[in-house]
Parts: sequence; C-alpha cells; structure tokens
Amino acid sequence: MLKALIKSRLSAIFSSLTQGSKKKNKSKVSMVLLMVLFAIIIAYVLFAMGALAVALCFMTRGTGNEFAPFTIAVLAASALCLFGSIFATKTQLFESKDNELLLSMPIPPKYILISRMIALVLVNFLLEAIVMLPFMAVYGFIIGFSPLGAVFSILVFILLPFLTLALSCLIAWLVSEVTSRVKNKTPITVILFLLFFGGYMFLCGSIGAFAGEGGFTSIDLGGLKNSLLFYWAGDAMAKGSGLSMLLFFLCCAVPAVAAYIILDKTFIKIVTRRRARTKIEYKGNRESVGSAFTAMLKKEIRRFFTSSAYIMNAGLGNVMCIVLAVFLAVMSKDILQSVPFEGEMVKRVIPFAVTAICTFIASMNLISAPSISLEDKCLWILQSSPVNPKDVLMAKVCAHIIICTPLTLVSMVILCIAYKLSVIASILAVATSLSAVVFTAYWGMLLGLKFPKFDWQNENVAVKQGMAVFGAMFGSMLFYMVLSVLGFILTVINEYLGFIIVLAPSIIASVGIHFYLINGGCGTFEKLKK
Amino acid sequence: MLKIINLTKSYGEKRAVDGLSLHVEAGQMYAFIGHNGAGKTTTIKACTGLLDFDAGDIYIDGVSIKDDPIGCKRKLAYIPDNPDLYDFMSGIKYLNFIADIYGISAEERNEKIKKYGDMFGLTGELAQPVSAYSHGMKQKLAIISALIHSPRLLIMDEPFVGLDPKAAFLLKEEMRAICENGGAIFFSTHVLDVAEKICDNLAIIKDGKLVVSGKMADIKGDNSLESIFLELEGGDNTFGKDWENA
Repeated sequence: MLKALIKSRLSAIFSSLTQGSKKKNKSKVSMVLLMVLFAIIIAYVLFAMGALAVALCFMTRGTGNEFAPFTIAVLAASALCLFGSIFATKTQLFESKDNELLLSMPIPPKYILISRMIALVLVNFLLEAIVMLPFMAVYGFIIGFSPLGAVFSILVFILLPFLTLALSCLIAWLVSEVTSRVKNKTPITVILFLLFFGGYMFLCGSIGAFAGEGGFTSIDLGGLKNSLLFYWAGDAMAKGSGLSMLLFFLCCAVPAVAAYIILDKTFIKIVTRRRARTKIEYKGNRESVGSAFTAMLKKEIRRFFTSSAYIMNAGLGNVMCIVLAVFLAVMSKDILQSVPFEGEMVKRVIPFAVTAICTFIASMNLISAPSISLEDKCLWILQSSPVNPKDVLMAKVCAHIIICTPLTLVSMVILCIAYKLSVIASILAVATSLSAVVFTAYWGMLLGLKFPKFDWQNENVAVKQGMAVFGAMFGSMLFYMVLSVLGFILTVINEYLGFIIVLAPSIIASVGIHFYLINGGCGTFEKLKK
Repeated sequence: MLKIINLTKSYGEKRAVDGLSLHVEAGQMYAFIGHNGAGKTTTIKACTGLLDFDAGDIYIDGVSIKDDPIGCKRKLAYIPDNPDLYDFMSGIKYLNFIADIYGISAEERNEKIKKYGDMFGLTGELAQPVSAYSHGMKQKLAIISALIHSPRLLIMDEPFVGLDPKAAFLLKEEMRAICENGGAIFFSTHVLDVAEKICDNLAIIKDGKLVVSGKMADIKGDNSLESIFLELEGGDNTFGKDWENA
C-alpha cells in the first residue's frame, strides 16, 4: 500500500515536469526547449559550484581549515533545498487535492504522510546533489578523502535532506496552523514566509561574517568553526571526526523525528479543518460600473494579491528591490569609499551601477508570465465573453506594470537621493528601471501566451514551473546582464551612454512585442484550448 | 436565433461532431440529448465560440460566429456543465466583473443582482469568496451571471446538475420567461423528464451525428421520451431515419 502511494507521488512529481509533452507537436518542441534550458541551468550551477569548490580547496589545502569547503557547500545546499521545496512541502502535505479522497479509503493516514515526505526527500536529494556532488568530486581530487571521511561524506549527503525536509515541514505546518485560524490568509502567509526567508538569509549572513571581515582568506575561513552544525558536517567530511558526525546526525535526526511526530499527530486535523472565515453579509450595496478593460485589469490585480504562491514566486523582485535599495542607501558612504575608481569615474560609474542593480532586480518579477496559465479552467469565461483578446492580453501586461512600478520607482528615487545623482542621471535612471518593468511585463506575456501550462492541479505549478516562467526569468535576467555589461563599458566613454544602451533596447523590444500581441497574439489567445 | 449548418469537428482521427445541422428559432426551448461522448458538449462549445470547428457554420441571430465572434457572444450567454469560476473573487465581484464585460448600467445590474440573488437564495452569500461556495452555489452564481445581461440566446450544458429542487424549478421558470420574451434556449441534459416537460423541441445526437430533431410532440408521439431515446440509442437507428424521412 505504502509502495503504491509512493509510486503515485513520484509519478505526480514526474508528470508535473513532463506533462506538456502529451499535447500536440508544439508541446514536444516546448518540452525539448524546456529540457535544454534545464540542462543549461544545471550545467551552469554545477560549473559554478565546481569553480567555487576548486578555489576553496586550493585556499584551504594544508591550512587545517579543510573543513571549510564542505561547510560552505552544506550551507549552500541546505539553502537551495529549503528555498526550492518549502512551497511544495506546504502544498503536497496539506493542500493536496487528493487528501480527502485518500483519507476516505482504508489507508492509514501515516502512510499518506510518509509517502508525501519520501517524495519530498527525493526532491531535496536532487537539489542537494547539484551543490554537494561538485564539491565532493573536487575535494576528492584536490585534497583527498580519508576512508572515514569518505564514509561520513556519504552519511552527511544522506542526512542533510532530512534536516531541510524537517525544517520545511515545520515551517509549512506552522504556516498552515496559523493561516487556518486567521481571516486574511494571503498576507499572513506572505509575511510568515518572508520572515522565514529573511531569518535564514540573516543566519547565512551571520555565518559569512564568522569568516572574518577581511574576506575569504584561508585564515579567515577558520572563523566558520563557529557555524555549529555546518562546521560539524564539514569537519566530519574532511577529517572523519566521529564526534562531529554524531553531532550533525543529532542535528538532522532530532528535527526530522520531531517533525514527523508533530505532523503525524496533526495531519488529519489540518487537512480536514475548514478554513476560518468570517461570514460577510452582502447588504445589497450599489455596485460601481467600469469598462470591460478596467474589469479585467482589476481581476488580474486581485488574482495576484489574493495568492501567496503568486506573490512569493512571481513578485518577490518587488520586495528585493526595495530591500536592496534601502541597504545600498544605508551603505552608500562605505560603498563610495570602497569603489576602485576615483573622481570623475565615480560620478560616471556609480549612477549606472545602482541603476543596473535596480533594473536587474526589477526584471526578476514574473507576474505576467504565468497569468495565461492561471486562467486554465476559467479560460471559458474570457473566451465566451464579448471581449477583444487584445484587451485581455493588455490587461495582464498592465497589471504587471501597475504592481511593479511603485516599488521600483521608490527604490530608484531612494538610490538617486542616496548617491546624489544629477537631474539628468536621475531621470535616465528612473526611466531605465521602469523600462525594465515594462519589458519584463511584455516579455512574460509573450512567453505566457506561447507556452501556457494548462494541466496543473495546484497553482504553485503554474507560477513556478513551465517554459513561460523559466524563459521569462532567465531570458530577462540574461537580457539585462548583457546590456549592463555593455552599459558599463560605454559609461567610460560617456556618463549617459550606459543608460541609453539599456533603455533603448528595452523600449524597442517592448514596442515590438506590443505590436505582436495586438496582432498575432490575439489569434493565439483565441486558439488556446481549442 | 441559432442556426447550425453542417457542423463538423474532429479530434485527431475521431469525428466528435459529423455534419450536424440544427435550427433553434426565437421563442423555442430546444433540448439536446445523447449518450456520454455523443458530441453534445463539443457542439455547445462550438456554438459559444469556445471551440473551433473543421467545417460548417454557426449563426447567432443571423450572424456567423466566424465573422463576428464578439458580436455573437454579446447576444448569448453560456453556462458550462462544471462552473469553474474565479475562486479569488467574491460572488458580487464576479457578477460585477461580468456586468462590466457586458456593459450593464449601474441601475440595471443592481436590479438584476437583487432579483436573481433573492430568487436563487444567494444574496446573503454574495460577499463570500467563490472558493467558499459549494458546487450548487457556484452553479447558481453562473446562472445569475448568465441572466444578468439579458441574453437573447441561452446555451447551457447540463444546467440542472448540482441544483437543489427549488433552484431547478426557478431556472425552468426563468427559461420559460426568456422564450416567452422572444429569446431562445438550447441546452443539453440527461434528465429526460425535464426535457420532456419543458421543451417544445428536441434533438438527439449519437456518435456525433444527429439522429433526430424536431417538435417534441412529433418525435415522441404517445411514447415517453425515455423509451424513444433508448430505442434510438439501442443501435438501430431506423426510427430516427424514419423521422428524418418524414
């Protein structure tokens, strides 16, 4: 029975990655493109991890700090596992649509829980492997394992996903417990996840600080000994220390057992609990009238702000933008003192640098990309209504722009004031960052229309997976990375040239996509699901 | 009001609808019945502009849905078999959304929301999110959203599924009222008793082909609709062919 449950969970995970291939030839093409994109991303991450491992291994070889590469690897792997699986953990455990069906069958609830946890552990193993395997391979090649160190390395590799699973289960359990008792579920969920992410980033930052203020030198890396379980993992792997292995084992096993016990005791209660909802009586208020376009625009904005998954996966760039702007503003004096330029070059480079950062972060918002996929079962409403498909698409683009513009604008204004940009530079900086918002909205819409994902069971899949989301994210990031590099080079020639080289392509590309959407895009929308 | 001419639609090798022709005139209530997978939903979706078709044409009030899809959609309302509505909206927000789409004035929408909300017992629940609605409540909301813009043609796919007896009765009353006011109704159903009692016209589809269509009284004569339907569905279509020849 348990085997059948595990098999069904794994096939569900696998089909969520491959289901697009079941449809038409076009989907086969998109599947191949998606696989190529996946391969590029994984190859890039493996290469980056390998390069970091090579640097750290050479830096620490023979210094007594050989544990440091593994400590950093375990830290990075745990962060990747947590950030990559926490939403999946919440939805797979507590919001899965087949929970009630399975509970109505003669299946022990613990089997349902265990099958879900095993599937999540396997996802964590995959994410962990991307970081840990390059480090282990490079370490073995450059420094070499002791026999016990090799055994402990395998043990750490096996244990780490249980720790991250335990943490994500506990966070998901906490969020589910809290949100099942409150009325405004979406903002509370977003705040709790932001607090968790913020706390984890702070922890990582603090561990980074242990490495010393002088930067990552072999001596400074010794400071990582204060990072407790991450150090114990590194020490066990590098030196084969039994005590460190035991301590790391306890750090993984205790939370994992605790998480299982808590979930086992509360699983049925949470999944069968009716959400707390204060009944609001409709009193026949006079309803306001708006145009069809305004109605669709308001619908898109409401959809975004009522879904914590949509906000956290597609709109996090907004939060990052403002956090980064405040951070850069507070640190402006230190940053200006530490830049490797002087005089006129500072005046030229800094305005473009802060704009490029803000622009890059703004391009990480993906609100328009999954908006077509999110229509899915409700697509019939728009397709059977007397609305021009052009208005449907433009409402989605405008919703992205309206949601992202305020925080991008505020961030840019903060940076302009903090770094005392000239009036012309300020105008160009604001225009450049806003052009990124507009381009990202159009680019996301284009990919969302070309590669919609209509076979999801959970909203998370629509906003996190698929060609549209991946393409929008990596495409716009790559676009602005290349433009920023070109901009830096041209800033040396003229202080405003860098802005122009980012601004002009953004506007031209946005205009081009706009004309495509209102012409060919309408036909594509009309043919969706037909 | 609704004219389907030689409608043909295939899914790969399978012909879901094969050369179907049908004419629903103003004032008529037309039932569309057939076994599961016969092609009812495909025909209905093609009539509402939700599905492309391979051959033939569909006219709404004399206008081809291919030539002026938006104009045709403005005249009709569609209620699907499974009312998937925007879960993130409240009932009243959804009704306002539909009213905005169809350009309904403030006075008219307020009056209609009150009228139909009270009629279907949904007024008190309109401020609740759609995600909190039961299947029946969603069905009622879909019906109200269809009626709010006074459609000339109402196309429904299994409209009585999930409705409580009172709501089903009220819907039938409203369907009659639409036909009396010069509108037309075309709906699919498996509830043959309902079709027999309220419809003056009937079409039976089997394996994508129209088996029989015409006046209810002419088709069933002294028999029950159930016996006629079972006879036609039994594989021997001579009865239907007789009617087509008649």
